Amino acid sequence: MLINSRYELMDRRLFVAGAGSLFLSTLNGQAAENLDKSELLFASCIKRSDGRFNAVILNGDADLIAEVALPERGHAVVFDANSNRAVAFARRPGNFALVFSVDGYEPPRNIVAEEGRHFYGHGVFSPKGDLLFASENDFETSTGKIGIYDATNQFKRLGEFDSYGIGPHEILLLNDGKTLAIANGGIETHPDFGRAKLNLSTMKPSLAFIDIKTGDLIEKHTLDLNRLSIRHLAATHSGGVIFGCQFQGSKSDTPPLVGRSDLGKGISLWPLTADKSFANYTGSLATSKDGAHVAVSSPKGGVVKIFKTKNGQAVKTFKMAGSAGVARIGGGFIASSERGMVKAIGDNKPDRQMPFLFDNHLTRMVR
Amino acid sequence: MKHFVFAIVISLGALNAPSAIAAPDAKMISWVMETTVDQVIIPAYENFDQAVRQLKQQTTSLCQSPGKPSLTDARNAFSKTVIAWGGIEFLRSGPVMKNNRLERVLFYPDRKSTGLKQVQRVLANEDASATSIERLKKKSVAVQGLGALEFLLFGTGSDVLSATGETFRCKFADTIATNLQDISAELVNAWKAEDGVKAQWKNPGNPNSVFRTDLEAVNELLGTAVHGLEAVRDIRLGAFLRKAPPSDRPKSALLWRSNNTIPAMIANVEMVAKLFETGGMDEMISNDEFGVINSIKFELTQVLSVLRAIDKPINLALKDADQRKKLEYLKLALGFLLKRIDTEYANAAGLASGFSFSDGD
Repeated sequence: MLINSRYELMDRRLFVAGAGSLFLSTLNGQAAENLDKSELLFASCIKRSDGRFNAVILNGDADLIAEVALPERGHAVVFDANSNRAVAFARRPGNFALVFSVDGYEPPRNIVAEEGRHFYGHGVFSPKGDLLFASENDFETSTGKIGIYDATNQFKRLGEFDSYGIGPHEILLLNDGKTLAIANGGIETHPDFGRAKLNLSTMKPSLAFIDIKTGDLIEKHTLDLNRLSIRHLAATHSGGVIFGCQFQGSKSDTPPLVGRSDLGKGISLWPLTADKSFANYTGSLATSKDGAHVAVSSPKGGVVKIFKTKNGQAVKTFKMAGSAGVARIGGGFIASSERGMVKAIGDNKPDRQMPFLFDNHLTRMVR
Repeated sequence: MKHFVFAIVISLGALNAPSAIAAPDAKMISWVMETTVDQVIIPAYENFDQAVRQLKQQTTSLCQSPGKPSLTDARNAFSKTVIAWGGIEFLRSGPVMKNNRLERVLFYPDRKSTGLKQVQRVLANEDASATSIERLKKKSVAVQGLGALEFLLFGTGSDVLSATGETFRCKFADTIATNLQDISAELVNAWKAEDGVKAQWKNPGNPNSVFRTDLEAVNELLGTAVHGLEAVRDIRLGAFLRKAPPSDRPKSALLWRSNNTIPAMIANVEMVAKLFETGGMDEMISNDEFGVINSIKFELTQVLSVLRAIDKPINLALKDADQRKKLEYLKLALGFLLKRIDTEYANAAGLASGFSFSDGD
């Protein structure tokens, strides 16, 4: 077991005070060896059975390599191969983003959200790793922002761009390395009201593409159904994105939840994803190595479904209770669940039960 | 390519509910869903419908015979209506989620006072579209329901309703009452139709059901209880009770003008109590040797008794040290209750990770 017990009773308030080294794992010989020889790792936010929220690093065999304590519940982790650092973002409407070194050589650093802003759970590094972009909420004006942080200078906040919508959630860089895709979920929230959705009757989700150098809007697309919140994204090999939605309307309606957008070619939902098995909620998305397929999880529906990225044709459905994160591995996918399972999608290997519960996302980290 | 050499490495005991508690079986879940529909949901919508019909009668009477007695009658009918709505408003499922019915009945939270500004604008301009039922239905949801009606009956200038002949203000109020009557009729009819929502809710797993599995059905009930209580704590109470008295915001309290803030919250919590005691959620877990149900009932009783002890209007309660302490305790008690339902009950009902965890974002 990698957890160092002297940290077990650590007061979460230490995070606020910025005290001490927060890397929980003291790598034992085997784990250190596993880490050294692993070029491919996965990261996820998790919940322990005693209620603690951490971030974990697993290797390709789903061995637990390291574990980092978080102040509160985290959501997604992003990775920068240049510096071998990862950042775990707070779940909406949290105000922390914890930067940690994957090898544990440097103490974690906590980025606290700017006053008047909170994080939305996602971010992305620039290709060179010198900048970190984070989806944020300016909660007094209810406008989405993309916070910009200097990864070369203690993650000092340099400024922000408009997200061109309300409630930006997942953001990612297209494979041109200069265009940021933003899933503006459209849902207004304010820390005064917890996680309450304040504008369901008037919400206007959108998918925006902006230039990461200037923040200029390149394209913005909306869907006809105003309660279809665009939440998660996966990049296609051809420079577009596959997006996954969560429907905020009646349970008896089952609109399509997954679609595709390519620069200059508009946006379209895939009709065949109007599927009861998603229970109107998609979790995370990942494209396959060859770009031909996309895996989509649904914790509420208890499935991972594979679609062709070309036309949205459903290829296969895997039952997985509480399916959460998906990432590509080899020629297939790996999926995690909120029940602590790790599944090799499309592989006959047995599932693996971990002693913690996975949050929504599983981040592939290639070093 | 790396291979998965997976094995069960850790005992699952810590992840799951205590083994003595058995998750509910399909027959039990089906019975609970049916009982909830027949004995909680439909009666609550019928109660709201009756209250709205009374309200409509009273607003019409007020417009025809203005005077203090008729204004009092209309105000009383309004209070009964908001309490009736409080008894079902946190069911966020079924026909209320279509055509913005939920927001048209009561637009809240309204952080920027959009509703108030729009109602004042309609009044100032004597906007005739607000006194035509067909045109009102197409206007902003914020001027169609109980929030707008409260301002008309209780807000600044409402005395005009008892003093003069038929006014624009009264016609606007009467049109809102008609709108509410139409919506409540739609809700009752949709729920009572034999082949409608009622059928979709019963028999989870049946192809006609909106619930593909038993667990989805359990999730729906838990979601109604958990999200309802969260809303009472975070949106209703949190709107006016701040960390310290100087920051309190009495005018952000829902329905403060009619002094219905606390009565509506009581109705909200009573609805959750009914889900357990009348709908059968308290029967759904067997062998409850850890006393999860008793704990939930105890916490519900605590929350309701604190709420009933808040007997002053919100602005005065916030200035009264004893009443304010009760409000602070209420926030804590709602947290205890939520934890019981969100984790302990959810675990016992077969949701190993608790209820809220699956709403990752």
